[in-house]
Amino acid sequence: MAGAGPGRSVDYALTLLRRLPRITLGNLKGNKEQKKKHNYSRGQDGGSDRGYPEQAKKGSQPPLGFAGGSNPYYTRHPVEWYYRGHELRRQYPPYSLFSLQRNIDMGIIDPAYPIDLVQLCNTKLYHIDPLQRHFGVNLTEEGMHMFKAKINLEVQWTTESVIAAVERNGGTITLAYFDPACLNAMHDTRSFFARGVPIPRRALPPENCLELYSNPKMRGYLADPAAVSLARVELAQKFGYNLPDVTKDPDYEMLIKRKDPRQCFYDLEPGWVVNLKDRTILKPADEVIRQYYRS
Amino acid sequence: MLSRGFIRLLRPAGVFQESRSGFKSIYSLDKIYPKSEFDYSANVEKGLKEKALKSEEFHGYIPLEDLEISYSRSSGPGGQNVNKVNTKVDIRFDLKSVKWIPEHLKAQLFEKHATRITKEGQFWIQSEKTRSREFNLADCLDKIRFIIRGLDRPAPELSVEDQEELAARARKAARERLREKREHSMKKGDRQDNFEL
Repeated sequence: MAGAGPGRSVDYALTLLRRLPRITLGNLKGNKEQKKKHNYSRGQDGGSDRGYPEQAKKGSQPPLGFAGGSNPYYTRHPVEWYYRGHELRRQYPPYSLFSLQRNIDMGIIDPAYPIDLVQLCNTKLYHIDPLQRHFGVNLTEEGMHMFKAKINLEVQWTTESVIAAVERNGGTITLAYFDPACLNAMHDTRSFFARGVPIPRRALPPENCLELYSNPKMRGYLADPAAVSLARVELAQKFGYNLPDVTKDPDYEMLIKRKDPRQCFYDLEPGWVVNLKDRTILKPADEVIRQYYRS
Repeated sequence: MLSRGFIRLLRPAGVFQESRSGFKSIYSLDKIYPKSEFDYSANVEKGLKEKALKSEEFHGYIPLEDLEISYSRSSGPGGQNVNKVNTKVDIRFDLKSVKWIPEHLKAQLFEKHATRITKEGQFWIQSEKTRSREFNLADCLDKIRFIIRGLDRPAPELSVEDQEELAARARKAARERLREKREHSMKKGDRQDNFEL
């Protein structure tokens, strides 16, 4: 593009192209290197090269990287590729079923409302730092033998046995992805709302975990609902428990409540600005902006 | 709980009308999977159970009410945990009366897995594989399914070379056994003082 690139190099190149004649044999400069003389080392000392200059190409040479006998540079600083890219990988700080049951028993977490990352961070007993590539909560199976709470749970990473422990008690569990912008809002909601910025629109999961979050066996939030319902029964058959009928539960509406894939918080839409001080919510009026947040 | 406090603060009517009816983006599940719905009722399991009871092959569904599950303490190392916690799982079910195993497979079970069947006609299986009761129960159920599915499988066909090889090995083993027996006999004989002129 004209004007693009550093300085005027592109323009200059194009100008040359326009003005200069076509390249022919008559235009080219000779290759002086090709005609160079070989300087054979002569004299009383015989020179410091190896016999004749062509030997550098024909004769045996030391291996690449050889440093005359001392420790070569490329072996001085060992490199271990095992953890390459570790600083870029997603991390899910663990939180056990035991801790969850304990916090519910002590009244720190209320099982009458859906429990998600926001609730866990609000307890101030669990923290994530999005700047450290923390992407949410990893619910671990420690305490699954004594887990008795019936809850609607939304986590970012877990195992089958944890899903079984939750569903066995008549609860529901979903695996959901939140991008770093949303995590910034969720892990410290008070300071987020104090900023006065709109609630972000949640991004879809990246390619390498899209399959996980669409997997009905892991109760992914993008999984086929009918497949999830079947997977619940299959898991009950695998672990040998009777799957409770959630529809007969008085908390049915709470237990089946789920966020939209573009939503960060329950009951709050992306695009809204929450004003805690004046106790109001500002919603976008412009149709284009409203459509953006719904797309 | 901040989000709960929210709902209380912003109680004035009309604020949550939109979100109460449900915020739906283009990626909401009813748009990605138009005809699919969650079914949290007992109907899904009922459907599977009916299929299993009608099926002529082993379906895989096991109604838990047919099983007698009991727990006890496991053996092996494990300190206080293995001493106190009942992690061993024992499952029995009356083989003749269950309807989720087809009859032709029941006959095979009586034949091939007779050691698993008690005098009262109960199929018996145990597991103390892991340190956890839930996983041991899962292991028991897995074993039941594995045993039943393995019944109808034909024995693997060996090629002529394989059969010959196996026969040759058996013959060699017999030769070795007899050779060692002879040598041992001679050793013992050499110790005896029964030299006769």
